[in-house]
Amino acid sequence: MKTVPAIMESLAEPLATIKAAPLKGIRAEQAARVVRRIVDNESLLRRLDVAAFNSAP
Amino acid sequence: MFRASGAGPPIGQYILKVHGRCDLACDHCYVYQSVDQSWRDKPRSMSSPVLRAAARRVAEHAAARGLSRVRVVLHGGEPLLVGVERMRELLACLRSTIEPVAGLDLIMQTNAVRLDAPMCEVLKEHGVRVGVSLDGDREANDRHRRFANGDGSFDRVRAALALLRTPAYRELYAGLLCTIDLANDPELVYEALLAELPPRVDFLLPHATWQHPPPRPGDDPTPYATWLSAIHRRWLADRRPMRIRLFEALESTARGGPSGSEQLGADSVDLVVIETDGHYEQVDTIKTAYPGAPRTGLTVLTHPVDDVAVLAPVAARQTGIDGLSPTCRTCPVVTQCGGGLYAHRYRPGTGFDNPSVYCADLRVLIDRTNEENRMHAENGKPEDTGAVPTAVIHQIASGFGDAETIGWLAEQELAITRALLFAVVDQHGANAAWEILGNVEAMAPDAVREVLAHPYVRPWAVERLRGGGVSYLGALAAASAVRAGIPVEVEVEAVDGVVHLPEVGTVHLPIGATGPARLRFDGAALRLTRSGEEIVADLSRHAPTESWQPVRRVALADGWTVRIEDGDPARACHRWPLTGRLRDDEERDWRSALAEAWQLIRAEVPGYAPALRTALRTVVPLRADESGAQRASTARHAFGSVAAALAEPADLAVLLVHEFQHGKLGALLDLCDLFDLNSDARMMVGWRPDPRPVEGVLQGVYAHAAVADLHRVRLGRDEHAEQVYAKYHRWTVDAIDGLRATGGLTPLGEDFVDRLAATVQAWDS
Ligand code: SF4
Repeated sequence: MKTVPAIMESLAEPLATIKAAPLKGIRAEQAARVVRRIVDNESLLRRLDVAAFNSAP
Repeated sequence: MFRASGAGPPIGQYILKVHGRCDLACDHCYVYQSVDQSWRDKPRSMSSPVLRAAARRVAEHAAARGLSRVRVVLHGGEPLLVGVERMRELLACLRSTIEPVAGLDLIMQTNAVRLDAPMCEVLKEHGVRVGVSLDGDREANDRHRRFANGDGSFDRVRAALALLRTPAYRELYAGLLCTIDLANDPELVYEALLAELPPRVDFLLPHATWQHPPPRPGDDPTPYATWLSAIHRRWLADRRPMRIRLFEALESTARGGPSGSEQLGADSVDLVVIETDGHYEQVDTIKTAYPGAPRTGLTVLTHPVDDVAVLAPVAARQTGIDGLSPTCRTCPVVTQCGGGLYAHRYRPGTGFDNPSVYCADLRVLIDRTNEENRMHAENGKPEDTGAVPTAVIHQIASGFGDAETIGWLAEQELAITRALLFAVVDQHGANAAWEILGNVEAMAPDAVREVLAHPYVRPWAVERLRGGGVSYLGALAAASAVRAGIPVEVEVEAVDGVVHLPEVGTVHLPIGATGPARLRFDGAALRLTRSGEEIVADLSRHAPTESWQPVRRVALADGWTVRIEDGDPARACHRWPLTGRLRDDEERDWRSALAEAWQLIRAEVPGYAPALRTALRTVVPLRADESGAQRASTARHAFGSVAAALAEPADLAVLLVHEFQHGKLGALLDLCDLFDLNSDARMMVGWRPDPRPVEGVLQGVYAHAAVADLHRVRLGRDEHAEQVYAKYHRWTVDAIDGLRATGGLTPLGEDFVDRLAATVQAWDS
């Protein structure tokens, strides 16, 4: 199973939205992105599988 | 079936059909509703001999071809139908057979209606990531995804997804797979998928061929492009809140990268299906083409994987653009489209040598997404596209960072803490304290900012999101209200004899007191009631009492204010033992040591001073080492804090500079990847006896360069400086060389290390 680094993201994107929002107005999906990165140590270097089978992962 | 010449391509992905039946009867399912009905003749589930043989074949192939990783997708039918016990045996067999030879990524694609906690435990034990099929909101999902009795599956799937979002099982949650139906409103589908907070989503075009084209109701000649474009625009406007593989693939291929998807692009497809009876087959979606289309006639019991790899249909999918139809080969978007999914190209007579039946849609979709991506990139601020400002990276890489840079980093860290706090409430439910915090923020946002910038809010939130910890929300709400001068009454939690209010102070209760307490603030005094006893603190007097310790702020020259933190229980995330509440004389010693250390830093290495002044908010006293060795530590999640045992000012200066380097780099690493998190690279370094991972070396190099720098300045003035400088300088230079050689750095990381190396080199001149 070959994977190739493809896209480099940064957390700055969701944080820009979060900074602008009041606490109660933070969007759950943006917070979830932060949780995946900070708590679950998710990579921001998006590796794309080489032609992965069509399943969600 | 004829053979292609040669050994055939290596096969890295295996779709293992562990159970041949399904508990849903979806009318769009490519396994049961397509022209190929071979499932009727297959056993219900994979037997142990077939499973063992399959695992051996995968391992044997990986060994022969030198594959370092393989992926096995547990599929069906519905894989969960095998049940918990069988699942455990199956996973154990796969791992024990394949892992001695190659890394194993285990994935399950499921309808999730049977996913429960006992099954999740087994999947977690074996590191299986779970992709769930969900077609959108209730109406969209239940349009097709129904039980045989006609009941919809939506509620059962959502319950399973809620389970996959709990701290215990979050690591299993891989994403959602959504089959497109034009009858569904694309925005509603997008919103429904987003509401499940999936790490990743993939959209699947419905199965179709030139013989059985997809429905195209209405006048729109490319309705699938229209449907997906609506989602793409919304996704960009929402700042890409979840990963969508189809769109990532188009972004990647637009820049000449791989697509990472079977549906698009000309990547070679290295996968084989193993049926419940052990037959190797082509991927299932080809079933839609003609009866028996996926069959190879070979089985795991009799044939190695190599024998499948050489078969022409497998090999044909390896040849990239050259293997496509003449129309596709001359198509302007072929590098992005790659002729679409193999199965969608089938036409009786010409077989698969055609463009996709979705050709017109793919063409329009690709042109549109490219254009929309371009406009989004041009119109957005750098932050909108997810970039960390180059100036920030350059300044941190040089080893230093001015007030503006470090202030920017501190802002990001605060935003992270706010997001995590929101996630804690999302996970554990809102309460009165959350209401209060929101109300105080509306009236006095700076008060809430100050409190949430306390370095130990984030370590607490991280622990809470991992399923541990106690509630700190009441304390955060109370502290914010007190800072804003707003009267408040709220429940707080006592931990180990203290109730800590960040930026305000600490209530000290009898040793060990733990549990809920009531806190009231009337604008002047705090009253804490617990077990019928009341403790009162008059905040206007700013004086400590036996039961009240106001925050210990130390105002130093040049506008730096640092707090000595000896109260917050959340500070127990450093690896050394902490002191208890400081006595007055101990506080005095700390104050004078900090003042002198700060003076030395400003005089000796002023380049490091702006960062400390801007963002080092807290120093946590550690218990002294009995043998007199120095102790200091930085906790990964506590940006803005350094823990240290009290030391002589000259040593404290080194400890503060050294430790805060870790803080700065840690904050940058929150935002971007300087190294590949999936890299297993290890290297030897001068300062440790064991091989270290890339992150550890990077952190070590970054901090040691600063220690070397400080002793360089002390050369001639301090008798030990020469020796210390030589040692740290050597460690740094050697480890920089080692880092460059690991191959584990990202391009950004390589640039970072080059810049740090330039700083170190400049000392020699
Ligand atoms: S858009 Fe059509 S012609 Fe072009 S590569 Fe895709 S399927 Fe082939």
